[in-house]
Amino acid sequence: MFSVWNWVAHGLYLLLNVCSLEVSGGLVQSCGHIIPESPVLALGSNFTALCILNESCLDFGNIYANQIIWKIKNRVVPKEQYREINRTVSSVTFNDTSLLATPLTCNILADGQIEQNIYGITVTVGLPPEKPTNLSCIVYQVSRLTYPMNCTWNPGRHTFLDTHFRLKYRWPQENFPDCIPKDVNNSCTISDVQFFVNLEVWVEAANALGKAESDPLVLDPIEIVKPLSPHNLTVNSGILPTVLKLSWENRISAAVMKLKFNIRYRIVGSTNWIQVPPEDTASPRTSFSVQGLRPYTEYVFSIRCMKEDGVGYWSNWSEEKTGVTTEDKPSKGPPIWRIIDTSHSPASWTVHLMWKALEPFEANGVILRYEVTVRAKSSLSSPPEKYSVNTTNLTLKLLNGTYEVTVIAHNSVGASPPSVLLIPASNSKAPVKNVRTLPKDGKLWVGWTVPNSYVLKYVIEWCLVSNSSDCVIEWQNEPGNVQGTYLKGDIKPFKCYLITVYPLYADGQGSGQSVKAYLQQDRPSKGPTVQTKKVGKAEAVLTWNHLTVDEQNGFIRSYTIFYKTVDGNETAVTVDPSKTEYTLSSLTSDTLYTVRMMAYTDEGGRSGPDFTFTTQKFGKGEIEAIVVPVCLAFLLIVLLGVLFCFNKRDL
Amino acid sequence: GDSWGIFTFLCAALCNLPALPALNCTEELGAGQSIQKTYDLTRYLEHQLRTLAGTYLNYLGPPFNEPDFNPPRLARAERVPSATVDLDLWRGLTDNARLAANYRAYSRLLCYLRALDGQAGTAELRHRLGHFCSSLQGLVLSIAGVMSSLGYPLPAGPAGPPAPPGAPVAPNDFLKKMDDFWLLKELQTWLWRSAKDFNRLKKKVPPAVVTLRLEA
Repeated sequence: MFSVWNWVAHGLYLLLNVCSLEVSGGLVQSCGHIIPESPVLALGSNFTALCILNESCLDFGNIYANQIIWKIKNRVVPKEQYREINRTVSSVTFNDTSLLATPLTCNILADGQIEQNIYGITVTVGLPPEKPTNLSCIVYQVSRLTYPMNCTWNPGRHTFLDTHFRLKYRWPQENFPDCIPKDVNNSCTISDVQFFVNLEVWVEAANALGKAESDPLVLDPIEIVKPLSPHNLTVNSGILPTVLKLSWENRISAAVMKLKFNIRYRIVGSTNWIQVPPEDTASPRTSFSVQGLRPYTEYVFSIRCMKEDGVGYWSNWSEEKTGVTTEDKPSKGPPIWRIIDTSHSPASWTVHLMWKALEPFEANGVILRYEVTVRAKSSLSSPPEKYSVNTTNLTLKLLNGTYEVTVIAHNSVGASPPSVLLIPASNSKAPVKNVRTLPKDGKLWVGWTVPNSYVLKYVIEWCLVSNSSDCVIEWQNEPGNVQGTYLKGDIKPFKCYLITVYPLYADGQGSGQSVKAYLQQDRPSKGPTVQTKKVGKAEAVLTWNHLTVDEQNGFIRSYTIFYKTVDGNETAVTVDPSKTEYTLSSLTSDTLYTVRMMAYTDEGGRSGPDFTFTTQKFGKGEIEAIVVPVCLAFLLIVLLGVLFCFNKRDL
Repeated sequence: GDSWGIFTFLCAALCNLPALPALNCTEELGAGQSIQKTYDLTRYLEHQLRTLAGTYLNYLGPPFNEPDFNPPRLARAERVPSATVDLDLWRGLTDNARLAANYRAYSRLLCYLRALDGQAGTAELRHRLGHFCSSLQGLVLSIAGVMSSLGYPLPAGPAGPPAPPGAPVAPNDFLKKMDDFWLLKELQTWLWRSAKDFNRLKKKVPPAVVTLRLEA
């Protein structure tokens, strides 16, 4: 029986405890609370919090409001900021909320100097939203029927709080649901807008500290449209080789918006876009003929559109489409030149005719063949000979005489104007004078003095001089009114080129004037190898070979011979570059000499290998001059001795 | 004598001339622009209706989508405001009367349009229908704007639902489709005529505004 009452008492006690727990609203009964709970404060403002102690707690060991210690996180708030309102209430004041942090706790210094926490609040400090600015909108056409509008704005300074932005828009008497930005705070997209009715748009920013609204923007969405670019662009070549016709489909109906266009084109492989004058495409259309193009050239086209009156945005450039213009006959004949080989017999020549293939913008198509006509001017009776070739050269055997060679290039459309070259029997007209060269900017410039007569054009030949390969002739034409030009072609540095200038007249040709030149000189790659031809007692004849062209790397301006004995100073002697022999004199006899040679160009010198020789001990005839008298003297002594002995015996 | 009088009169007229337009410059621009936008909107709606009508009639099925379908106008179709009024009679009306008639007609047409089958056809058809409804709503507002900028009062009375909901609902499916057919047909005619009205009004506006102000 007693145990039953025990259980009942325990049960009641527990029930009471549970009830009191529910009343106090927490697991642990707090001794006080702070007002306000979880405030949101504006940065820089002032704030006062009150800590109110529960009456029930005061009974536990003399707790008074003046023992309250306020703490921010773990730092104690200075006592100057406290104020004791009454026995159970303490307040703390902050003049500048920027010094506040979370949490703010109310603690008490109980008996025995133990600090106990009573309550805590989370403090959020932030700023009210700034007025959003720079609101701007654009309507992107996404498909034929869909026109979403995207608006962007400047959200203003960071508020440190959760700030919500809403894009609001309405018609004069009709409100639409707000647009709520997703994941960003500075833009929002309205899925579909109507045209031709003015829409008022503005942004509202709101957070726990306040609201702000941007200035409203009033616009008709038809004025801020970025249309889709025209598509299904097709390019057709017409009859004319300089015209291509473009057609396309517009993706925005004329009832919505009338369009104007920009068309641009470039040659395939080039990066330079050429614009069709915008005035020509400033009205609604679905096709256009582009003129002034080059024949037989591949072009890339692209087009974009916008509202005809210029209000709104240009669409993106459409997908590119290529087209090729048709062929046209060549605009020029190929330049011609010849190499005449008279080596076999002076009366019969081997003439190598050569001409340059036309550039694409002159050829206007694929050159199918060249028609070469050779007419002998010296004998009018023989008919002109025609040849049809598809290479750019032709070798003929002709008798000595004057000939007129015409070359015409043919493509599928027609023939080029004829190119004529006169091959006179002899180059009897006035040649140019004073051919000189000058390396400039990585290219070789050739100049000459114009002869007195009227020159039609000049032909400049050049070839690379080398021991290991033949001199292959390259050439170029120059107009008759110039006195100099740059060589077009790959001129290598440190290589010798033989350049010849021919003046061509209406009725003849001048002989070629040649000059050797280097684009850039260098010191020779090898030095001359010097040897002795003959060594005497006090002189030595040195001999060497000139360096080959490939070894020279420049014009040899001088040679220097250096010779020295084993322990002597080196002596240098300068020698003219045309010589191949030199005699050293005033040498010491019977001495070992080391000699070497350096060859100099304008850029420096290179030394050849050393050569040693020993001068003779005796000069020419010296030995004979000593031996013969010595032998004769010996003979004389022997004879005298023999005579003396005979005389002695006689007595 | 006479020439001096004429000269003085001309001077006076010229001196006063700058004052008059200044009074109504912004109003004139506002009204003119308003009418231009309403005209553009009417053309836009016509364009939308062309494709929309075709698609919707196909959804309704035969005989509504046959090109030569020309039913007699039944009594119940009288609810939809008819645009087939005598053209001379129509032109004889004042601008105010015409604008008011347009406003009332489109308001009612909009209601009927909104009541169209919300589950009609494909998602694309519903999207087009929704877009068209919004555009038509915009037209009603635009016409109201034009009327107020020209100084006309808006037509009184509800622009809202004309008949209590649930009243003459089509007794059968076929007649309901007939209602839809007539709605689209009348819309086409109204829009076609409105475009002409606004085009004419556009050219009329400047002197009309000046005279209005002077009378006031």
